[in-house]
Amino acid sequence: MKTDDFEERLQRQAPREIPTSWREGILSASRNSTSSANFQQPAHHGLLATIRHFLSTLRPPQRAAWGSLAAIWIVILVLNISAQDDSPRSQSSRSDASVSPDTLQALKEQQLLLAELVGRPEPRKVEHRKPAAPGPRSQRREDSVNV
Amino acid sequence: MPPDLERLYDDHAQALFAFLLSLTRDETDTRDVLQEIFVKLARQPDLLRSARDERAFLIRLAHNATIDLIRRRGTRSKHHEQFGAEAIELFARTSDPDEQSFRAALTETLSELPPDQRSVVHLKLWEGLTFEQIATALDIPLNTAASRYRYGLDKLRARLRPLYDEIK
Repeated sequence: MKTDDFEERLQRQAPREIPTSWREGILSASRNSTSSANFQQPAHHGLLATIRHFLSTLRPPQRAAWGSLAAIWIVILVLNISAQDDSPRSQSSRSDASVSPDTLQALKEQQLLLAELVGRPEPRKVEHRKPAAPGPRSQRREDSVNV
Repeated sequence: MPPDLERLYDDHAQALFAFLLSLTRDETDTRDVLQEIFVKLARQPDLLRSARDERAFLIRLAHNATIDLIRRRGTRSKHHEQFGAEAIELFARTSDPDEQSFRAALTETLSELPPDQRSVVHLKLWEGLTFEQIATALDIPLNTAASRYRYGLDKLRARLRPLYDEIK
């Protein structure tokens, strides 16, 4: 596209200069934003680092509150684990482990004696009657004729 | 490696300033957007690495940031119209009264152009970019860039021709 006189005249109009005072302000703001961005982004080196960063962002009163909350949770966890150990199942398993073979033998004998005294119900014999097998086809015909 | 912000500022800030001022018609907005661009460059050191043409890339950033600013401000159409309505000096002052009156008239007429046309006219006339470069910078088709320039220039011509003929 060829430029005419009018376009050339427009091109000759010099745009306004940028205020010189802006340079330092903009550049320092840019530099500061990098350092603040680095501060804001936690280094992802693991869970501990994340926790440490999280704790560092908290103010002292909040830190104490979070710390006491964590302590309470640890106490609850310990109590929960100890309560599970006292449950009947664990007790029985512990008692099974501590019973001697002689005691077990005596217990078995007692059980057998009890069974003889009470009398074990004998299982009933169930007779499964087979359905009558149909006779040969020729015989069946005879039966029907007889009827 | 972090970008050399000082070098980038010295090379491109003047052009970005003129472009942004032409778009926003507000010095405060221009400064805000310019600072936003440099903060972005500082925070994302790899941003310019893939750019073939630094100037075109930065103009694109400036254009997008201005559009974001317009959107943030609320109803797009309203502010799109309002952008450019304010009287501001786009051109350097001159001691020649004829030239000064022409510049004032040019500034006023530019403010009447839609921002899309104004961007293309500015980049073509005062940045000296080709239509291809403008199309890349503004992310528009080449033909759109050319037609926007033609429409914009026709409006400028229609409005400024009497004054131009008078002072020629």
